[in-house]
Amino acid sequence: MSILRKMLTFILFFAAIPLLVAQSRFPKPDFTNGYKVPQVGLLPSAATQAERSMLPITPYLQYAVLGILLLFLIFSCYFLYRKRSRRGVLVTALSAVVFFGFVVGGCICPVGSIQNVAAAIFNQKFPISPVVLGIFLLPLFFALFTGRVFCGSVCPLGTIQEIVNFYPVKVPPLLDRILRVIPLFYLGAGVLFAATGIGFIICRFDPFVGFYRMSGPFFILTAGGGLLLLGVFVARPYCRYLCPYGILLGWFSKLSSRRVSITPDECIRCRLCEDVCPVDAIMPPSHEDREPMRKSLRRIILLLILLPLTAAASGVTGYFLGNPISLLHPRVELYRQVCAELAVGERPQTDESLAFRSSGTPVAELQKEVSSVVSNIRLGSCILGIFMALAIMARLFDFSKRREQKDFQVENSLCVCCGRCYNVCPREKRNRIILKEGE
Amino acid sequence: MNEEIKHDSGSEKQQSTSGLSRRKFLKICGISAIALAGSAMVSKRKEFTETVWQLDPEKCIQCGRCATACVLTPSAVKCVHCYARCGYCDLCSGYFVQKPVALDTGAENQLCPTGALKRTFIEDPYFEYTIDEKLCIGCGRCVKGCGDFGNGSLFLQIRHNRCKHCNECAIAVACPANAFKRVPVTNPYLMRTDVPGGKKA
Repeated sequence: MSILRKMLTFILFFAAIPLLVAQSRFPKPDFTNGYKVPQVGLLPSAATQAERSMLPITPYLQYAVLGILLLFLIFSCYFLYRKRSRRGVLVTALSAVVFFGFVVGGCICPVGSIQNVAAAIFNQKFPISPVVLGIFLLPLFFALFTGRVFCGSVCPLGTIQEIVNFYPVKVPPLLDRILRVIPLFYLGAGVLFAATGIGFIICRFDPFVGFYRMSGPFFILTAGGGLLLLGVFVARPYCRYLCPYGILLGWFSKLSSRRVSITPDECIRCRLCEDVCPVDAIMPPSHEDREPMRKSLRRIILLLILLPLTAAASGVTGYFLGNPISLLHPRVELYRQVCAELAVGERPQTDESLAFRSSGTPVAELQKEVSSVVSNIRLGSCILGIFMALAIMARLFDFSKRREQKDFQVENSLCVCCGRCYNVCPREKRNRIILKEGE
Repeated sequence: MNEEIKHDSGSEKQQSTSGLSRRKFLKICGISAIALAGSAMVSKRKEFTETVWQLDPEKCIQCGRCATACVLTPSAVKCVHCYARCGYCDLCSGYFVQKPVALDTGAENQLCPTGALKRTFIEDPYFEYTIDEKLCIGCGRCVKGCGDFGNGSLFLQIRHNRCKHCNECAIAVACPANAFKRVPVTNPYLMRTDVPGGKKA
């Protein structure tokens, strides 16, 4: 009997171990020499002077960043439109690189903030801050009135390319127009991936932020270096053929009545500005490349007929692309891994599956989450397909539209407001000399 | 200078007279769309604050990717010690490798690859464990040891004085346990300050 009781106590003792573990394996000792248990620092309430430095920058400082962005935009407008000074624009741009690049560290920038806004619109739980919203909206708001001043004199990504462009070469117009479709897709993918929770690809593949932080993944630094090398010859390759924010700025700046006016007075058709423009934004007078009315009309009618067909086709394509796209989602990947393991009764093979299976979440819950994710992605990529078709058709429509203009004029949606054309215009130079002599 | 500006604005007016009304209309549409979208987004939202990245120690499985995935080298993630949870053991499973040759500070006995975890004698048989932050690389080996066999008083946290506040945290992408999230800047650390079975420290 006593043996049985002992055994029972023994068994009960071991049965109680898990309970004890859930409490604390080793109780806190009672010190006899007056040792005081230190507090965990870092918390705002208990932080000492040294530990206070471990706190992140305060919200006030982040608002200051927003204010400085506003200041930079105002300065760039002043130099571009009032002073007509390329040098002023360049100085603004370089100081913006120093501040937003090296001091702030690159994040958050308007280009990346597209994704925060997209995620916040489609996902109610995604936390968005006033500063991020402001950083996204401010350059767009300026674009509405003054064109893409942000690109030329504030954006650190643009400036790093601007200063390496030593031997500019012209990209053939057709190639240029084809390559300029890429940012549309990049924007679409960025929004879709952010909205459905796949990730922030625009930030993940930001080629230049590593230079500002002076560290980063190897392939990103290599890609950034490659782009800069390309940028020595092809001006602003990222801005023209990748930047998704440039697309948004382009749309908004189409409505801007203010544009970079190349010559302050009569144009003498020297075409120097057209040569020097890094982004081929300067359009010649319309009679020079005019085609017969009937031809352009026929083309526009053709486009209008094709519009619904293309939209429907690319919507369907988008829907069917939804499945392969959804494989990029981390939860979908996890679900596939867990299912594959459970099917053959294996132990967790990856860290992801280990983490999931030790968390105790039922697989059914994950399945529910994944099926909603997949249907969201399918719907999203279907809508995106239609949208892409519309955007590309709108662009083709723009190309075939008859332009009415007398002088060399900048196309607002392409102009990055760098001010290079100011410096080459002979009329402008003459004016400056006259002004100087007048003083 | 004045003359130039006058001329400038004059030519602008001439240019834009043809498309003025349409452009203005579209512009008003654009501004109101932005304003509507913005206010709709803000009004529906509960959390409208500045955020920073942080990792939840309860979800962390100490895979070691914090040390390698961060854009910084060494990582912005470092180990934190909640002393109130600690058992002050001589044979610390966070400090020593699984079968130590001796319970001393010999490198072959230590779990920490950089010797960042230090121990000081308090009184028999208790030792205090502190982290030398300059040496810590955030690999989480001590965290794993402490969590597997000890009280779980060691845990990883992003150090905001080191963190670059990337818009998409590179470690969050690599984290297998989905432990990284955006937290309000006013409460930037997810500390383990509670003592299991006891009152809050």
